[in-house]
Amino acid sequence: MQNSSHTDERHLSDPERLREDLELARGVLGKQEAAIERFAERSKCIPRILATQNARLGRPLNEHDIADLAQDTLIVVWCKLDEFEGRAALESWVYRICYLELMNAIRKKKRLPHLVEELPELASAAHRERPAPHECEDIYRGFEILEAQEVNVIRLKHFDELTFDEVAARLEISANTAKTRYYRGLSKLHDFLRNRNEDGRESLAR
Amino acid sequence: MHAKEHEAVLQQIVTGELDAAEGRAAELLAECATCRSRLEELRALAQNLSATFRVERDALAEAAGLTDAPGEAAVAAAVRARGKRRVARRTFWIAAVAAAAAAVLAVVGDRLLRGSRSGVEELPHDLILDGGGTLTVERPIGTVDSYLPFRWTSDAQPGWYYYVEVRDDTDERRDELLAEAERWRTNEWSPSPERGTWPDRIVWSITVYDSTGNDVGSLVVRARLASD
Repeated sequence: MQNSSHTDERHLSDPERLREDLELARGVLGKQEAAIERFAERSKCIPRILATQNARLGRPLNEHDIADLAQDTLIVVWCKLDEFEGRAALESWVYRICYLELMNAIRKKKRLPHLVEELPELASAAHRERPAPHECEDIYRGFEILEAQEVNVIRLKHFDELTFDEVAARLEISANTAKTRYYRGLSKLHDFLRNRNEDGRESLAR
Repeated sequence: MHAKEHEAVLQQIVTGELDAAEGRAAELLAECATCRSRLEELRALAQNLSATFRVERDALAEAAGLTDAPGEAAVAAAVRARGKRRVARRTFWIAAVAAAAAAVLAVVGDRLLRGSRSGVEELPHDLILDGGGTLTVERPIGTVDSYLPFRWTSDAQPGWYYYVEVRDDTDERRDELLAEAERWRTNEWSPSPERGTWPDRIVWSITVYDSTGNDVGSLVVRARLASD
């Protein structure tokens, strides 16, 4: 059976789709009943993303945990909905929130000693084909300190795999501006990650 | 020594304008160890970004094909319930009339089942919840000396919660929200009005939600201060 979030076959960054997603978010904030009904269906992506990611991480959380976490994540999504700018599809925007909430939940559970052995993928960063979960998490956390326009360029470059000319056309800026924003964002992210790693090493040494 | 102007060259290398193996870029990298190491780290980060987004794309595609994830129906129900009570701010009177009618029907049904109770307040202030159990509002109902505290009893099960809101019922400011409590878990509430003082007349509602966020019943009650 095809589910509702799967019926839209357009690319996640299709500009028309992004406009529709932004209108949807505004409709929900504006308490429009039709928008709320559509959002109710679209919000099913929250437990779906959580379940998918949880499975990829070796199921550190059980089904009951995921159902509870989905409710908590929905509240986070709802509270942040006024920050949604339609720069990425609603599901992509929700994905990042889900990912960070999932990692927090796993970390909480990991504090229980008997669960440490159950998280082999988290304990090892040896999966070089895919970045380790904590590396993805660090990058998403790093995005929070960047300016939105820097994240947008980075996202279009690496998620949509556009050239700088295409990024520039999409954002209606010059290619030079796109490159400057990209480099500035990359540099900030680099510094953030380096500081984060140094802090991590220091706390391990203590 | 790494200088500020080196950054401009690094930007050109990272963004593909300059080839690191040729001309000015190659000379700089040969001279400046900081630039070499920084370029290596930035390139690694760019690769990591691509890999992170590749994971995201794959995960979104996989999630889109998934059905019946744990808690899926509950999340959709929670959105509808949350949206409904916000929509209710605009259509409060329609909701109030519907809820009151439902409450009257429930009370009539309840009394038919349990027999008439002498001395019971005439206003509809109790309700049979979906799935069984009752919700009974104790106060404030009708004419009171003070609205506080708001109190009710119910057969709520562990994990259930209430949404309570109070609105102005005077002609001047009808339907203006005075106070609300989300995910309230006890049977008593003593709010302060968001602005000013309590008006002479209020209408308040209480909605019971089960642990999955489903609305299992609500009541709408009017009260006014004795001095009115």
